[in-house]
Amino acid sequence: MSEAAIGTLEGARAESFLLACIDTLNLIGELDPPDYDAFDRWRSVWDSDALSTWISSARDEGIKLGPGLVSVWLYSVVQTWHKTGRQAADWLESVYDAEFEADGSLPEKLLRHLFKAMSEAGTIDLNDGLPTELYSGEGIIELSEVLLDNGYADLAKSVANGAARLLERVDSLGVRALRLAARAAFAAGQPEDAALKLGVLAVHPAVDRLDRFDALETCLRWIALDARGKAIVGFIASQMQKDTQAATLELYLKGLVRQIDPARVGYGDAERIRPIFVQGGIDDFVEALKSVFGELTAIERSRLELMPPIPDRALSTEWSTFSFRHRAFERSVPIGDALRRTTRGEEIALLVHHETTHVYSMMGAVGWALLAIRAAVLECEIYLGAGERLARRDRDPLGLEAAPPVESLTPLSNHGPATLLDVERQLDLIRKSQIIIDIWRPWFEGVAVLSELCDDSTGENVFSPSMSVLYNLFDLGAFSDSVPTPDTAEALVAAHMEAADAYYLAAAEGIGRYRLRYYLNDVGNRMHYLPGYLAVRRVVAAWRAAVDQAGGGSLSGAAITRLLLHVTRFASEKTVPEPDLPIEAFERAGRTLFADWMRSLTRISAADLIRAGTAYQRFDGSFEAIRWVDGRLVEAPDRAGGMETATFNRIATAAAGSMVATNNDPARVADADPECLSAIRSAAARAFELSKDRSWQGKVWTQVMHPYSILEIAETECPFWLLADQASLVIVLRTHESDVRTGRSAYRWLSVGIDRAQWDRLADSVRRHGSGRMRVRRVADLSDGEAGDEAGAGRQYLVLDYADWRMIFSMGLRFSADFASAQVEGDIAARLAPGILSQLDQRELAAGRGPAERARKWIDGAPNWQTGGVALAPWALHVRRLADDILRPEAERGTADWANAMLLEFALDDAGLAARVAKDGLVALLPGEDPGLLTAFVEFLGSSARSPTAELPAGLDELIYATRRSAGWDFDPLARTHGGMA
Amino acid sequence: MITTAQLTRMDLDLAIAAAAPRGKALEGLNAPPDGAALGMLDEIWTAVSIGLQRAYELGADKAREIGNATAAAARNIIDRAGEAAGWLRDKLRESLQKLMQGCIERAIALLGSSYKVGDATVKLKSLQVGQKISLSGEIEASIQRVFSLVATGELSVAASYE
Repeated sequence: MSEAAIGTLEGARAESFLLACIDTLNLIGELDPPDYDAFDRWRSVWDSDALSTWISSARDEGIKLGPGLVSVWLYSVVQTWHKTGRQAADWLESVYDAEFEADGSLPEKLLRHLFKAMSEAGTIDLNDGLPTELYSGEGIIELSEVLLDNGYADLAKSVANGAARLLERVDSLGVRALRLAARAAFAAGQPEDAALKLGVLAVHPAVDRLDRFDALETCLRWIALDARGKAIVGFIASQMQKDTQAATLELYLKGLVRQIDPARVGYGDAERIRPIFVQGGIDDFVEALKSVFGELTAIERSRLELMPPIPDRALSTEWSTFSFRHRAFERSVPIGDALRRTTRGEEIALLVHHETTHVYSMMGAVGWALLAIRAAVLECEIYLGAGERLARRDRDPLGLEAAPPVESLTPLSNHGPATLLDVERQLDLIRKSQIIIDIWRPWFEGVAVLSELCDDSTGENVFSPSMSVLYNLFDLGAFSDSVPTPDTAEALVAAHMEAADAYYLAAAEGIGRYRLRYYLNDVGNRMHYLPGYLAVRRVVAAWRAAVDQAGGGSLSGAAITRLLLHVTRFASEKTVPEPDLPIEAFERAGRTLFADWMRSLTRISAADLIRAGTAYQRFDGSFEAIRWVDGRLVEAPDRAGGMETATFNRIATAAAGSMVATNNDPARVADADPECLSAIRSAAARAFELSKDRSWQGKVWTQVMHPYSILEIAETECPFWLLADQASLVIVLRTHESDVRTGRSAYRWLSVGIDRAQWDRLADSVRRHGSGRMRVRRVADLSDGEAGDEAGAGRQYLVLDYADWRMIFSMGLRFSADFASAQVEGDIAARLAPGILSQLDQRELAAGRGPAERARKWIDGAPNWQTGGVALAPWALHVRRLADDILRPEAERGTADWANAMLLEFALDDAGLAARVAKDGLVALLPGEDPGLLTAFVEFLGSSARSPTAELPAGLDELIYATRRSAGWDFDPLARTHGGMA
Repeated sequence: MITTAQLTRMDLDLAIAAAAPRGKALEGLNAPPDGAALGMLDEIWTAVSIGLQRAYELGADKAREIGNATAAAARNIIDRAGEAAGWLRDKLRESLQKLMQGCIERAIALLGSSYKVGDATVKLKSLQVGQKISLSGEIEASIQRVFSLVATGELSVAASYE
């Protein structure tokens, strides 16, 4: 086949796409009067047979090519496409690369994409035997995306339709074009047209199964059941019969269509729930929903099977996000009494308490200090990004290199001293964050393990913040089967909390002792938990002794939980060293400050303990405004006494000054010659000058001081229906992963009354986007709140999202009572969709691995570290070692081992005994080897944490670490004899 | 020439330690979602390991009694494990098998691969474990079987040389 013939063939294939291009050109603008002369001059000099010379001839004549002129010229190109399409491709691409500067305007953007798209259309030749994946079609699709994003839905659809035809044999691109065509059809208000395209996607072999499922679902929910629609459904059904992989899709089809014979297509009872927009009353609809609920949930389960499995991993609270996610809440959102109905619900409750305690512990002085250091790490990244942009401008004046996304780490290419210093500063601060985390991790675990198993608020007037999250994880009415319904709202809340307390206590007393045993005795992990736990118990023993001796009675487990969290969060302000210290000095200071702080806890007065233990959290938002100063309670304007901002500002300012100017001692770099030392000093002086400009600091700090108080607990996607008559929304929600009765996923439907304006906005969005599923998340507000305000206290919300529509409902103890306040809504929005700098901070920088790995690769990638004749290699080697330190696992970094050893010695006040416990575990504390002794000891540890026990368990009467208080026996790691009153 | 090797107390201790079930090593602020089941497993295994050590010291008569008590305690915990019961049985059986394998390997290690007898050298020809080892079936029976094999010193490996 001749080249001309191919050109003609491909031209014909491209015809509909090119027609859409002409329509797009009309958007760019016609010639303005001042352009007329220029156009005439241009036309007089261009050679109509050599299109490639047109641009150069304009340049030769000094004609400035604006969008109007270029669009006219492109129009000519399209008009002659059948003759010149292949030829045009080459020079269109070069024009695209070289001629236009991006100014961000829509005409410029459209022109740019037209060049790229037409260039690609000219190159596509599906008869040349090349593998189809070698064809580029990105630009063709991007053109449609630009049009759609800018509100030209009809045109976007035309371009996408043309693209789909042009790219139909290039699987991945053809599918993308089809999907885009469906999106554009919805946006253009043509849902039935969109449904047809989705029908094609539903049986397309190149589409993955989950996408096919969703395409089929949306197709079926919108398709018009006229003769054509029925034929299409029949076609889809027959295609599926041929495809053994399509079993789950077929289930959907059967579930909703119930017939796969094209001649008998009809939805029967299911027709009522097929469309997203439902006519008629809600009662009729609910009846219909109930009648097919079993099939509907079977369909949902089959969709779940198409999703990738949830990784089997330990539950983890992340420093980078101050959050955790239990796997049971990965694809389900607990509603009502779901937690009670789920398999292992009790253990999930204990875990949620444990991890929430971690999050609260982070939301204190230590966490704020770490965030402040992270702000300086982010600043370094901004410096690195700016440096690389300058370097890129020098080596690539035409801007041909793609700029890296702002929310990702900047790839480093410049091997100069300024960059090396910024990299070192960043790694230095990351390493210091790591040191703080390693020092505090065992203590945090001790607090969380103890609290998880002793936080029994039964009969208390105040409760711990972690328990408040648990209360709210059940929605009001969740215990209506087990407690009578009181008359007043207040009594209802009280009964709910009492029932939740009982549920939690049963969990702690039942499986809790086994969990405690794992924490304290598992051969592989006991050093992860045991040192912190024993240290916490020593502090608790000191507190109980002090309060007991002062006649204040026995501190309950719940009071202990509140106290531990209060001091960990608010009495730890001075435990993080100044971050501009050299690393070794920083670690020494961090260890000393932490050890001193922990010892100081045992000296808190009984009066302060009683006050802090009873003045924590109430649902009305009230609290005693107190803060800790040098180990004593004082009055304060708010709970933290402004500590959050003060700590953050102080540490962030010091961190920003780390390793600049005189804070940079070049002597740290071994084997550096005088020139290298001089280069380090110069770079530090330059960094100091740059760091003086704090004009943008506030913006960076705001992004790092993210609303971490919003905790995302659970998330799922669910089908929904819109009832116009009542302005109602009905969703079918997966509430738990495994039901205790059936062992299967459980679902329930929820009718949500929303105001007409909100309903209209949602309806409009649904018509524009098409999907019949929305995203549902459950979040908790962990903020401490101010007196009388609406925030905090573990309050929970259901966040419903559909495209740009969002609605937030109160759940938990305020279930169905109200909506979120504007402040909470703002915090939720910021938390669920972090800004670009927050993303960079949380996803790339906070964990530290990314910057360390980048640094190693960058340092190793330089042929030599000579800059301007200065040998920087010793300095680069020093920075590389720093990166190596960061990348070491916790066990090899040494800090956590130090903390474990120190905590054990503190707890037992006996180095020899501490060493034996480190080696043999809890059994080193027991009077004998009988396995029953260890079991009884663990039980005693668990029960005495909640409150001193009346008797020592059988066999433990020889236990020397028990002490008798007025309320009974308590564990005290310092007790060496027992029998008398402590 | 035929010789036999019997397990020493030290070998038993080492085999028990090597067979002990361990949770995945954790870093950071992690907690296992199945900590209760892991704690139950730890409680059973502690009873098994200490029981075996005591039974080894006290001899065959007591071993049966201790083995029965240990098996009953294990059953008691498994009965309370709910849906984790199957997982517990599997993990326990896995550790018992590891223990048996460790014991046999340690007994074999006591035997030489060759002996010098006068001017002649006799080389190991075959090995035979003196007892039939099967840990299938009920977990209680498996525990009792391990007690009778290991703790009573019945586990013997015969080696023939030529």
